[in-house]
Amino acid sequence: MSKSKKFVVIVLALFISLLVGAVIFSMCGYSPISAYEAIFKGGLGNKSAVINSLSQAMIIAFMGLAYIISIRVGVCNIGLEGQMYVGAIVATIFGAYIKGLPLVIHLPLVLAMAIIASGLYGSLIAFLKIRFGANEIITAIMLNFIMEYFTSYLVNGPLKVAGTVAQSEKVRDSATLFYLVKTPKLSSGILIFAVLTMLMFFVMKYTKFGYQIRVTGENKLAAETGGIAVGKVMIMAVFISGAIAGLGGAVIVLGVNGRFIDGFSSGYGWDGIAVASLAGLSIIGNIFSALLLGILKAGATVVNRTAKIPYDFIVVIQAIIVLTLGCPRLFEGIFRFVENKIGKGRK
Amino acid sequence: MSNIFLKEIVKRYPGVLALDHVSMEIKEGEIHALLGENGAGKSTLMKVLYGMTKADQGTIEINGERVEIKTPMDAIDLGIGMVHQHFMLADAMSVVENVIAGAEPTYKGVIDIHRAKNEVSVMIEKFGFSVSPDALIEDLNVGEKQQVEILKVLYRSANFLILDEPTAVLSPQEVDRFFEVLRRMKADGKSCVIITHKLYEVFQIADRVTVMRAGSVTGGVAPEDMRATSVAKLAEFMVGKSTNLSEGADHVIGSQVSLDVDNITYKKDKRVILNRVHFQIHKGEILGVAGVEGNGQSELVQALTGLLKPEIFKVKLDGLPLSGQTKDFIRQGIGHIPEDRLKYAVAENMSIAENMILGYQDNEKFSRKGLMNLKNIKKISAERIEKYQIKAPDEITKVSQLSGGNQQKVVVARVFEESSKVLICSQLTRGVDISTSEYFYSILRDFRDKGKAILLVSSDLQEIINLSDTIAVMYKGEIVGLRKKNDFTREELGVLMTGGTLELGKEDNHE
Repeated sequence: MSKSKKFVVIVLALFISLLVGAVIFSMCGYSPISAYEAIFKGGLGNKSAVINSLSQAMIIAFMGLAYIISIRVGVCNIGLEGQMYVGAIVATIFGAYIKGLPLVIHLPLVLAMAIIASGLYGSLIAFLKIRFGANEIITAIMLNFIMEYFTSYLVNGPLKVAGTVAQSEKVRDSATLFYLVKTPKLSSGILIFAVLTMLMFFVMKYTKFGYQIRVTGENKLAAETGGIAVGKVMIMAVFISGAIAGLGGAVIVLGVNGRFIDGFSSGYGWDGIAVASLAGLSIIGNIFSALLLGILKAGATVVNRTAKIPYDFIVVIQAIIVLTLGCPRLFEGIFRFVENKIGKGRK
Repeated sequence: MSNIFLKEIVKRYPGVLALDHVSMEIKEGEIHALLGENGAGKSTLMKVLYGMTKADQGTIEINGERVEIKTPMDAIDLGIGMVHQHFMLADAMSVVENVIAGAEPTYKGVIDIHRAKNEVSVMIEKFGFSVSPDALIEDLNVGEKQQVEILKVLYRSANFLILDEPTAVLSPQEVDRFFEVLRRMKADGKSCVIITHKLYEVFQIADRVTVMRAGSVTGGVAPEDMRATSVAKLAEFMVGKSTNLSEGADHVIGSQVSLDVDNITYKKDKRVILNRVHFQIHKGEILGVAGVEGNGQSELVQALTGLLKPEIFKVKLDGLPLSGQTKDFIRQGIGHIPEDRLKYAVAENMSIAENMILGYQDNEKFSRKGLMNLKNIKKISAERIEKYQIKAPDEITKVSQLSGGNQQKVVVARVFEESSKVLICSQLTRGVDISTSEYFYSILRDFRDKGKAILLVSSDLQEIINLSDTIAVMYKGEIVGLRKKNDFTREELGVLMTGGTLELGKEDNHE
C-alpha cells in the first residue's frame, strides 16, 4: 500500500471508531457531540488539561515505540505490559532502597537497571521462540501475568508501606526525574522519550543493525541466506523493545507516581499496540497517535469526574481503532467502492 | 458442442495493461496451448475465466451465451476447472479424501466414502492415472500430487480444464504420462488449456495454440496448420524477434580445481537426504545438476551456502576448507542465487537498493563501523539498475513492484558484481521470460569465462544441457551419474534422473 493510501486508511479507521463511539454514546443516552466536545475540552481545554494529556501520551508513546521496534524485526511483542512492570519494579527497588548516592549516579544507575532487567525479560520471548519454537503470543501473555501478579505480591507484601493502599515506599529524591512543569506535574521522562525516538529513528534508518532488523522482519529466510544471524538480531531487537517498555515503567515510577502503586497500569502495554497500529508502525507517526490517544484518555478522565460519562468509552473507541486497522480487506473494499463510484461518475 | 469464447478482455493493474483486448476461443475436445513468456498475461487471462480476477472490460460466452463468472464457484458450476501451479492438498489425508473435499457425496448427512472411493477409482482407471485412491498425499511424488489436483477438477465434472504450467515440476517420464492423461481427457470430449512457455511441449501435445506477449495475443495456430508451424515461428510470436535457444561456444576449462566437494552427507529424521555427494568444479567450468526436484538438490545448495549443517561436510574452496556460518561462506567467495527468490533472495517490501546489498552488507563499500553508507549504496544501485537493465524508475522502488524477471535481475546483479569465486545457482530462470533468460545465460557464460566455477541446479533439463560443461545427475540424494556433457544422451539423463541405471551402456563401452 502506498504511503498516502496508508494515511487515508488510518484517518478512516479513526473516523469509523469515533463514529461507532458516537453511536454507542447515543445508545447509552448521551449526546455524542457534547460528549466528544467535553472529552476534547477535558484533554485540551486549558493548560493543566494539556499537561495531563501530554503526561498520558508520554507513557503510551514509550509503549508504542517499543511495539514498533519488535514488529520491525518480525516478533509481535505483546509482552509490553510485563516488561513495563519489570522496569517499574526494578526502578522502585533501586530507587527507593539504595541510599546515599548523588543524583548523577543514582538516577542513571536506576534507569540502567530497569533497562537491563526489562530488556532481558523481553528477549526471553524471542529466546523461547527461537530456541524452542514457542509461540510468542502465548509466552508473552503468560509472562505478563507473572509480572503483574509478582509485582502485586511485592507491594502487598514485602515492599508494602504502612497504610491501606498497596504501594511501595517513595523513591528517593536522588532517583527522581525532575519536572518540566510543577503543577500539574510534567515529568522530564518526555525528554527521555524524545531522545529514544530520535535514536531509534537513526538506528533503523542509518545503521547496519537497523538494516539487519528490517530485513529479518521482512523476510527471515532471505536474511539468513544473506548471512544475517537472524536469531541474534531478533533477540537483540526484542531486548531493545522490552527495554523501552521497561523505561516507560521506570518513568512512571520515577517521574509520575513517585512509587510503585499496585495495578498502576490501565493497560499501557495494550495502548502501545493501539497507537503503534494507528501510527502505521512509523516511529515518527507514533508521536502523533500517542498524543491523540493521550488527549482522549486525559479528556475521558475529566469527563468521567465531571459529567459522569464512563471512562470505558475511551477503551471502546481504542478497541475499535485496533479492530478496524486490523481489517485491511475492509479498506480495500471501501477503496474499490469509492473508485467504482468515481469511475462511474466520469462516464 | 460446447465452446468458450473470451471476447475483448481488458484488465488493468496500476501502471500496467495486463490484458489488452484479448480474445480467445476454446473448442470442445481440443488441447489448447496458451503460450507466452512470463508476464505475458496468460495466467491473468485464465484467472479471469476462472473467476479469480475480475476483468475491467470484455465478455465471456459459453456456446454463444453470455455468462458472468465472478468467483471460482461460478466457474465450477459452468464446468470450468483449474489446476494451479502450487498444489493445495492436505498432506495427512488420502487421495480420495482430498479429491472429494468440498464436494463430498453424502448419505443421510454422512460422507459416503464408499461411493466416493468407487467414483474416484473409476476416474483413475478411465483417464490412466497411476495413483492409488487410498494413498496418503504425503507419500506421493510431485507427479502424483498433480494427478490428484486434476482428479479434484474432474470430480467436480469439469469439461474445461485449465492447467497452469503443468509440466514445470515433472520429470520427462512423468511428462509422458501426463500427456497420456491429457489425450484420454480429450478423447472423453473435454477441453484443456495448458498454460506454458515450453515451446517443444506445444508441438507434442497441443491441437491449437494461442500465443501472447505483453498482454496481447500475438499469434495463433489452428489445428490444420500445426504441422506446418516451426518452433522458430512460435518463438517469434512469443518474443517478437528470433532468439537463439542454445549456444555452444567453445571455451577452455581451467585445470585448477576451484570447488572440491569430497563428501557431503546429510541426514534428516534418520532419512539420508544427501549421501556421500562428491564432485569437483574447475575454474571456468559449469557443473549442471540434473534431477527431478526433491532429490536433494535444494539441500546440496543449502549445505554449500552454509545454510544447512550436514553431518559430514568435507569441502574445499581453492584448497582451503570451507567452514563457518553463511556469512563466512559469502566472505570466502561463495555467491548464491537461491531457488525461490521471493522466499530466499529478496525482501520484497524493501527497496531495490536495500536488496542490492543483501548478503554483502558487511562489505566496506556498504557499511563501516556499523553505519550504512547510504550515498554509496544509492550510487552503486543506480549503476547496477542501468547496467543490468532493471526496469524500475529508481533505486528506492520496492522489489515487490518489479516483474519476476526484474526481481531476479536484482539478485543476479548483486551476486555477479560482488565477484565471488564460486557461484551456486539454483533455478536461475524460473518464472523469467525468454529474453531475460538469454540475458542471464550470457552473463553466466561471461562469468565462467572469467575463470569462475559455477554449480548450476535447474529443473529445466534443457537449460542444464545448454549451459553445462559437466553434468551430475542426482537421484535420492546421490550423484548417480557424472560425466562431460557430450558423453550423455538426453535419454540417458532421463533414465538416471528417474532411478534407472546405465549398466547396459557401460558394458557396450567396454567392448
